[in-house]
Parts: sequence; C-alpha cells; structure tokens
Amino acid sequence: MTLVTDYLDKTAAKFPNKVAFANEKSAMTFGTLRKESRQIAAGLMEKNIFRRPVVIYLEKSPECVAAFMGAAYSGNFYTPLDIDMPKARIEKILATLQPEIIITDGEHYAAAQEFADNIPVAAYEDFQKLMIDEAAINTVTEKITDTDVLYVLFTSGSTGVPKGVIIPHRGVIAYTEWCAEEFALDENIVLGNQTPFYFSMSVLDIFQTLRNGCTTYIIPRILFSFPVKLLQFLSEKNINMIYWVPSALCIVANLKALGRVEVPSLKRILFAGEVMPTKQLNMWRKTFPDCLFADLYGPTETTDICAFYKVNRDLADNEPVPIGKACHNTGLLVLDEKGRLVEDGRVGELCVYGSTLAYGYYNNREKTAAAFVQNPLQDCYSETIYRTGDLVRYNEHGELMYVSRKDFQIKHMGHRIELGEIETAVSSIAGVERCACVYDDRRSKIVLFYTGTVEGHDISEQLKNMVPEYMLPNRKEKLDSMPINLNGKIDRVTLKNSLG
Amino acid sequence: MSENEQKILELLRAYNEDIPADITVNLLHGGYIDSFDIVNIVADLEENFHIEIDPEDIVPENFDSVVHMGGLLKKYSR
Repeated sequence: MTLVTDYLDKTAAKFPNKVAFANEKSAMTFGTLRKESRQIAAGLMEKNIFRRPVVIYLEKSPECVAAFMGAAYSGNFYTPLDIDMPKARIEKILATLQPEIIITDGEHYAAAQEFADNIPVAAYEDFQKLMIDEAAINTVTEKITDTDVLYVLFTSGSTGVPKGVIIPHRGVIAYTEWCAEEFALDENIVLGNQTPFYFSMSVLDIFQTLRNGCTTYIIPRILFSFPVKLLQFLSEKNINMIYWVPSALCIVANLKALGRVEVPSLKRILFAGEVMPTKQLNMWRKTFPDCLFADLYGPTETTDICAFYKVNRDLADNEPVPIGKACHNTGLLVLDEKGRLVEDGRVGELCVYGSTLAYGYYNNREKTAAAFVQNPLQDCYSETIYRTGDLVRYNEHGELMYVSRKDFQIKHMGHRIELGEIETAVSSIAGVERCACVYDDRRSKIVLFYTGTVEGHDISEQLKNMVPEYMLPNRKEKLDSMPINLNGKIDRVTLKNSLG
Repeated sequence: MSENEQKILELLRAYNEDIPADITVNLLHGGYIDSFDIVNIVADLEENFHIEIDPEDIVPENFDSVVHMGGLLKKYSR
C-alpha cells in the first residue's frame, strides 16, 4: 500500500455495494464513494489544481469523505473546516493555508462565500455532473508518492493562532496498518463515529473503513446529550467499535445511562484525546465486562496515535490509566531537560519518531523548528523527532504514564507540581464529575475547577489523604458546567482566562 | 409562564443568554443549547428542584424547550 486511495480502490472492488459511511441524511456505498471521489478529482484536474491545498466545507457526511478522497486522487491535499466553526477561526486558517479552492454544497454555498474572499467556491453537486476521464486521473495518481501531503489539520495553538499539521499519505498508511493489526480489524467492524472530521481522531474511523471495508455510522451530535438514546443507536446499528473522547464516555456514565440499554454488539471501546478518568472507565468496564478497552495516546503531529494501552488489569479509581507503550513502527524517547534519555521512573518529555510524524506546521517554519528537532542522542545524520510537550514517566510495570503538559508543570512554594496529578486525585472522589486544575500565576495559587454534587470542603478532606499538603488547591470553584472546546475537551484556556 | 418555567429559563440563560423568552421555542434545533450542556443542565435541574431525574427521561422530547422541561419537573413533583 502506497497511497490512501489504494485502500479505496481495493475496497471498492471487493465490496462495491456495501455501505461505507452513513449519517442521518444519506448512506454511501464504497462503489459510489469511489465514483464521487473521482468526480471531485476530475473537477480539480480540470481547474489545473495539483499539489495545492483544498478546503472542504461540508457537514460531517459521506460526501465529506468523498471530497477528501477527491483531493487525494488528484494529487492535492485537503483541510476540513467545520460548518459550526467560528468565522474568526476560519479566517485565521484561510490566511495561513491560502487554499486554491473551497468545496462546499448548495446548502452551505452562501456561508462559504461570506468568508471565501477571493478564493473560488465550488459546489459538490456541480462536480457530480462531470464526466470522469479514468485514464487522465490514473496518470495523475501515478505521479503521487507516499511522501506527498494528504491533509493539513489545524489544531489550536497556545497563542490563539491555529497551527496546520501537515500529514503525508505515509503517515496515515503507517498509522492505519498498525491500528488494523493491533486491534484485528476487518470488514466486520461497524464503527460509531463521534469525533469531528477536522480532529485527528477521525482518521481512525475514516481510514479503517476505507482499508478494511468497515461501515461507519456518523452518530448525530445531539445523541451525545441523551445517553439512553445514544446507547439505543449503538444497539440498533449493531455498532461493535467506538473510538470517542473521554468526555463523551463520561456523559454516558455521569447521567447514569450505563446498563439501561443492552448493547450486545459492542466489543471494542477505544478512547483518546484527553485523560480518561478512571472512575468513569471502571463504570464502563463493569457494564461491558467482555469488551476490549484501550487508551490511545498521541498528538495530531503523530498522525493520531503513538502509544497505546490495552486495559488488562483492575485499576483503582484514583490510579491513572497508563498510556502504555509505543505502537509498532513508532519510536518513543523520554528525554530530560538536557536532552538525555530517561529510563528509570523519573519524569521527562515524551518525544516521537517514525513514519507517522507530521512534516511540521503549514506555512510556519518557526513553530515547526521549535517542535520538530534533530534527535539530540546522535548528530551523524538528519533524524527528526517531535517533542510532544507532554511529560511522562515509566511505572513499575514498564508502562508509560502521562503526567501532565510540560506547561502544566508548575513551581509552587518551591515544589515542582504536576497539575495533572492533582486532577487524577480529585476525579477519583465520589461526587466529582469533571475537574481541571489551573495555576493562577499572578496570585501564585492552585485553582481547582470542578462539577458534581460534592462541596469544596469535602474535596479538601479527602484530598488530604491522597496528595501532599503543598499540592492541595488553594481555591476550589464549583462550576455549573465545565467549559468544553470545539473538540469536546475541557477548555483550559477559558478556565485560565476566568481567573482575571 | 409558570414560576417553574421562569426559573428554568433563568438557569438556561446561564448557558446562553440569547435563549428567547418564547418558552415553546425548540432549543435543540435552534442551536441554543450544545450537546455537551445537557449533562450540566440535568445537574442544575436536580439541584435546584431537589429531584433526581431518571436517565430514561433524559431524551430530546423532555429537553427541547422550556415548556417541556417544565412538564418533566411536574412529573417529578407529583
């Protein structure tokens, strides 16, 4: 396998009439998906667009995947923009990307034109009227190598300017092959997609489907508010694998929906994107004792995932879930501040190398150079490693444990503290639903934000038995709701800004 | 508008101050409340009205408008 389009070619030949992707409005077979992809490709070729950025502005839908593949068949690379994304963010992304064209549909055409400025906007429906010159498309596809860029996904930068992570075909192929082997995925897999297509986690759902001939049901977003309905949906569609953010799994657990609906089809439950609170994980494990649970870890810069842990033992509610070990064909290094290898239980920064690595950030050499650096362990040849900015350590089982973001590591009253460690302790307390700690630099105080039924002084009482006194939050703020960002993760920027 | 409905409206406006005064407006289709908000809204209703909402009742039909949330509360206060 060289290109992701090879996956679609192979699968469309094998299962032309099987449903590949479905949402509320439409279902598309592999045969149609390939045909519509190649019509998009034909249209892009007609406009002489090659090796250039193509923006896809569509609802999460089968058509959206066809547009991605159309960009790929024509030797271009795609960037999905969410139709609910704030206009200010879209404008920042377009300024960085300078795309050649925006592909949307009739329904969103007017909205796209509003931010397009002088970038041409084209409707999906119009591409579908084109004739496909198969031979011409094949000639273009033959020129593409696995080091050509497949997509650019934007992640929020700490300064508020989104960074476009550049991923080549090779990255997705390496990741997809590992994942399919590791979890024994084949055409019998039925996925329930939660994550947005502009978020790296969706790469698993999309490309496992294309590789194996799985079916992916795009779950209506509204169901994540109504967990009983959500479980009914999983059951009705015979979904047997989900790969969700922990926040989505927590909603189901916290609203006490687990066990209310039988989901006998469900066999694999994977999660990534943020720390999974062990208490809620245990609630899921109790309800689905025969399911495989796996914690996947990785930044967008490693395509999606670089380490994983298959839950294989009992974990106490106050014991964090390991991030485990490196994926096959991925290299992990834990480096100290001086760039030396850490192999005992000390904390260091996790660094990654291998085929899943991004090329860096689009149109941003400065940020690229800061994170994608020469391997400090040797200087005889060029070897790029990615510094994740995540602090980790090995536990007594030789598993990697996530400690915190490097920038969460704070110095408080002379002690070096990982805010993540406090969060792990707090989230194990009964009555706490979600929590997040931030450091108020101006006042030198640890501030805990949480939601749940428990009062602040009860948290202090119990926390005293779990963490050293200098790690006790100086202030505890009970919130009605935890702010959540576009990806469904806790919005720490908003929390920090609320400190004043 | 009943007293309960008034109180619900105030609770919801903490999430989105643009929630209209027309308590029959569909808040889900209108995009007034986000899918991740419901878990918090449930907790708010439980705390403010001293009830415990059964998970089976956490369905769109009971949460799509202030009127319907009011109807749900009525069921629990009986």
